[in-house]
Amino acid sequence: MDQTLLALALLGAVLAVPACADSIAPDEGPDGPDGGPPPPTAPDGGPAADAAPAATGRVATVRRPDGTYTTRIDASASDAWIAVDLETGGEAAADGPWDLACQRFHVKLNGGVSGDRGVEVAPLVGADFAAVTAAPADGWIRDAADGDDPGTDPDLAFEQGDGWYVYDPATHVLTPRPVVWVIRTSDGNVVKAVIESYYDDAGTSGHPRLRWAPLGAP
Amino acid sequence: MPDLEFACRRAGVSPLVSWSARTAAANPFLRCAAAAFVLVWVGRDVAAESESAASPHEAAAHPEGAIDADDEAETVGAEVIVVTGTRTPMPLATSPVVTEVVARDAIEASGARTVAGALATRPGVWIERGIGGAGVSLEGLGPEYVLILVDGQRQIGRVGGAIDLDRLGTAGVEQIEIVRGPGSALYGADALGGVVNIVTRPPGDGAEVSARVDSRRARDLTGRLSAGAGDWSGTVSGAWRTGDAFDRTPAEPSTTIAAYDDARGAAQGRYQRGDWRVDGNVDYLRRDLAGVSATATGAVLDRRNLTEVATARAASQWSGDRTVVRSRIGAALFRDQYRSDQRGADALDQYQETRERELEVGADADRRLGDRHRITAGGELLAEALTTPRLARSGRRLRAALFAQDEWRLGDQHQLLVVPALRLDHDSQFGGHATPRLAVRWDASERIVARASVGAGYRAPGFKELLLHFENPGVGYVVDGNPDLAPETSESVHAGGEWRPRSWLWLAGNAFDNELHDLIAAVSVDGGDGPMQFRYQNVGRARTSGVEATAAVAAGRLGVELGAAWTRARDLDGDRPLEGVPALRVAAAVRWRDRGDGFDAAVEGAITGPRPYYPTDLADWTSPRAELRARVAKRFTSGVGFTLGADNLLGAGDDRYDPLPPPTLYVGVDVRR
Repeated sequence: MDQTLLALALLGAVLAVPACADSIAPDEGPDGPDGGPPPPTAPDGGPAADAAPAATGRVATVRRPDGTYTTRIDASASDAWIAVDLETGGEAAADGPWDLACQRFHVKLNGGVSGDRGVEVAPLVGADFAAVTAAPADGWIRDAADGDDPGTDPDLAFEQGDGWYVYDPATHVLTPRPVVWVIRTSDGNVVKAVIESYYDDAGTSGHPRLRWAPLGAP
Repeated sequence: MPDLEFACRRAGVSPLVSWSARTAAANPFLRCAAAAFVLVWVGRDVAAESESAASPHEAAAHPEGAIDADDEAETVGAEVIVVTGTRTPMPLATSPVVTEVVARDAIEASGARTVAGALATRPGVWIERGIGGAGVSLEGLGPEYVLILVDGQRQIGRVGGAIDLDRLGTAGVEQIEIVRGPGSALYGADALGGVVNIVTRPPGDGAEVSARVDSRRARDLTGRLSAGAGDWSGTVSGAWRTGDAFDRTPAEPSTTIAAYDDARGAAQGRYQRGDWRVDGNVDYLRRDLAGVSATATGAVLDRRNLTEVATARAASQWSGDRTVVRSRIGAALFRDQYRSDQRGADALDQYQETRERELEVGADADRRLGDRHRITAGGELLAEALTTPRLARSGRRLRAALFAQDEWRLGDQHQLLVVPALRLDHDSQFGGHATPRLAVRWDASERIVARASVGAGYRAPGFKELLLHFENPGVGYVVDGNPDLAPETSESVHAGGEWRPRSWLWLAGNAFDNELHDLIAAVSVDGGDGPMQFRYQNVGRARTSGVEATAAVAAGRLGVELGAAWTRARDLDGDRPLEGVPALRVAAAVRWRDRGDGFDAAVEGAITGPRPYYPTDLADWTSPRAELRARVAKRFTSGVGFTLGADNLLGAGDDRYDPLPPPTLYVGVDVRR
């Protein structure tokens, strides 16, 4: 009987201390980023330099000293496509003149099965970005219906063949392949682009960064 | 002749370790000054359960008794009592199962402040430091295959499969018992590679305080106060440890070792009257870890883990002439709060709270039948629950078990001991499971003992493997648990022997072979262009084999021990070595001890061969690792002791696979009354 009482007392003692330590949960919401991308800036000298940028904060474009452009896209939401109009360097409406759209690591074009504006792309594998001065005559592809491959999703142009990235299963890191993507935009302009990174400066995934520049007509 | 406890060694004990078990109470070793109020934990003292050692039965089985009368070892055979190998207290010298004992005296000589440190230089023991802390591997099998007990109570709070042995301080430890090979026939799940049972110090009289500081500004304070009156005795104890983070590569933002701040409090009591004894204890640990990690994508995360472990245990024992009846109840709570704060963004910020609870109730009885049989039979009930945001739902499990074994002595002098054992478990998740074991001990002569065993083991699927739902939308993969998983199983064979060719020399060798089936692994199950999908399945097979050899010399005040372990661990499906398992470990220890003047000095070292890791399909082999530590201590008759020591003298470690602290010098002082 003594041991029974002792057992119950000890058991009670343990159950009474389920949470002695204070919670270390954040008091408020997550802290804000302290170094996010710069505010949207209209491309200077881009295909449509006179167009107003779409300043939603999810797409931002800046001009580099060498005359090329950097567009950062916050595509971290897994349930939304973020559409980009390269002519404005900003985000476009889903029914607007967008050129490409990103959702996490997926990239689709406003052409083929994904849109009706005829956007297409010519991937130049291994090409040097600076050395590409004109659009190729052939090799253009569009987003296509699902082909003879596993799954039922459309065969997006950026994911056909080897696709735009390499996945490291050990680190779960996506690294862009060395491909120059020549894009014919919804307005008929042609740009060359490379995907520089899938991560923002803080290392967060779902933030593709494009470097691109206009090309003359093919 | 030296006063080494050869009898301990004969049963597989580590010599240096068991060396002075009988004088543990007088052991000086420094420890430090200052006092804290404190506590450590408690538990029942197996060593005190030596009633079986005095039985005529044991004496008949070991006619050599003290081995050599002029050894000063006249009581040696009864001094170290072990419980883990057979679940019944018995002298180490007569155990049918090879049991390695790291006694308190040896723990103090090593200077180790945690159980992980105390085991770090044992040749057949490998401390793997990973995301779950310092886990222990035995016979080439990782921490998830090693059962960790404290006073026989199953420990909870596995992270990444490991019980973090750095969370268990040594201040309250009486001895650490290591039984290699499957122990599931007695302990049920998770004991494939072996069982590590940490036996806590018993209540006693007196008080002690200790303090220690090292060159990395780590501080360690312990205190213990014991008292008794009549049939009652009790102890309160406490410990506080704190240390800064260590960064082996300052140019990178991540830390190699997290800063820690541990506080522990415990109380234990014992009531003993006539044939009855009742023990109870409560223990609470608060462990606060803070470090910085960097991801492969460049994200920098400030991480913090605030972990609490609370346990309570009560045990009763009634001892009759031929029968001993034991009962116990234990409860444990593990709570871990994890917070990560991404620098420069909040996308990767996380807060997760994990709660694990366990209630264990059991009873068993020993009964001697004639002079040749000792039957042990008992039952257990175990309830577990786990709640964490990473699981699709809370995990709950109930397990009931019955077990029995017979210690059957054969031969005209009982020189042959045969121990069959069987345990039947019924788990609410996977149903019934039976695990048998047969162990044999043969005392070929007074100087030669041989042992062999065959047995089975199993590991119950963890809650994560059963219930996980983890999505990484950033790169598009999903890992799902599988509620239909079966246990992982093993069959094992062990054989070994001990030989004492001279009174000052002891040699031992053991060989093992474990074959594992139905190992659980995440297998790709997707076939489309959606996220990659993985699901846990029983698909793997592995085999570990090896030999261990130990030689010990005791000459007056000098003791020397040399041990080596060779292990071949293969993933049979992948046809490659198991990750993280060293093929070779060599350890040595030298100790000089003069009880007369209270001086004690020890040097311990271990060399670990390369280990493979698989960040890709190609193995990434580590460099060999050489660890060395030393300690000198002086205790005065006043009860005050001083210590000077150094850890990791050779600067072993790296930033990726061997996160060890740099060479560290420490000083300590303690007072014992």
